[in-house]
Amino acid sequence: MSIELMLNAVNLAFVAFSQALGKLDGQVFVLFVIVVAAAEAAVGLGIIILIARNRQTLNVERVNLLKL
Amino acid sequence: MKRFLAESYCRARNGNYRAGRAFCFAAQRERIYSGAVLAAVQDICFSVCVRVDARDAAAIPLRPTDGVRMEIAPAAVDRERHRHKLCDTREDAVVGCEMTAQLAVFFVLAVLAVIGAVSLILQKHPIHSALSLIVVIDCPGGPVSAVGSGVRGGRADHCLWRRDHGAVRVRDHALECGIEEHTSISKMAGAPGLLLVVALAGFVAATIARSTENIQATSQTGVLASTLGISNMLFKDFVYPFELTSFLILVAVLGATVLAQREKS
Repeated sequence: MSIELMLNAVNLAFVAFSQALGKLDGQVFVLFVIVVAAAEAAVGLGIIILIARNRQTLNVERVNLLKL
Repeated sequence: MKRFLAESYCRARNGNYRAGRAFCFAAQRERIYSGAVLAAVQDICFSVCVRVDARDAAAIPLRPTDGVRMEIAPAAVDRERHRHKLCDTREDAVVGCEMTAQLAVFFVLAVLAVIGAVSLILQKHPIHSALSLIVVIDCPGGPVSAVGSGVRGGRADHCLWRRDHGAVRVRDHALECGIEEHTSISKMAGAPGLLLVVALAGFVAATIARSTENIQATSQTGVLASTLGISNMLFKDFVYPFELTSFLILVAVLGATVLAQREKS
């Protein structure tokens, strides 16, 4: 979700600069960024479903398998 | 001090010392305002050419070599009053700070976006983070459409709105799988969330209606054809990245399906 946040910030910058400079390249890149974010969200959803199925919870505090 | 300033001014403009003395007497009669008096003896006159000008006033170098030049940054707005009258500082502070409706919407939604981003990072429960993500996703469309006030802002809002539907679909999928833990905040998010959705739908509808007016206005003049331009760029200049992203999203969908499928017992 933090990656989603960063991608949204990049999208906002792309749209703003595209509007300011009067070029369409930024808006095309926004479309590509949205597609990449959708793919990332789909994989993240699959991982969350697997975690919920195995651990019976969605609490991040209890997802500590990789924690030292 | 007044005499010194007047003579300096006239020598800088005309190069005539006598004209400077005449201007000096005229200035004494008209009582030109000056701040602190720094010169105790006024009989000694030596001219120093001081030009106060903006840095980007001339495209080519026209600076004199026999004078001292004081350069300042150009003013953001025109603060010069009629006949160089003394101005009120409180009134000056208001100049250029008019709060329009679009600017107010921009600031409110920008603050909401920042709050949602901080909440997204700080929340421990994924559902709460997802709700914060919905706020973060929705809010940038508002500032863009408020500032852009045109076709592009409306389209950006539309794209973000579609992504918002994707996030809601993610939550519905989680509900179908029976994995969501209903917390107090997620139960409380029903009615305010519905109100927020209605408000955002009205805002998006108003933006689309305004964008449609702009499209109709610009299509007659032929100034803006951004949809045609984007489609041309997508299917001509960026056709290879477009196909690559379609393959990427196909792989992502297959991977999510494989990850989420139940094991046959």
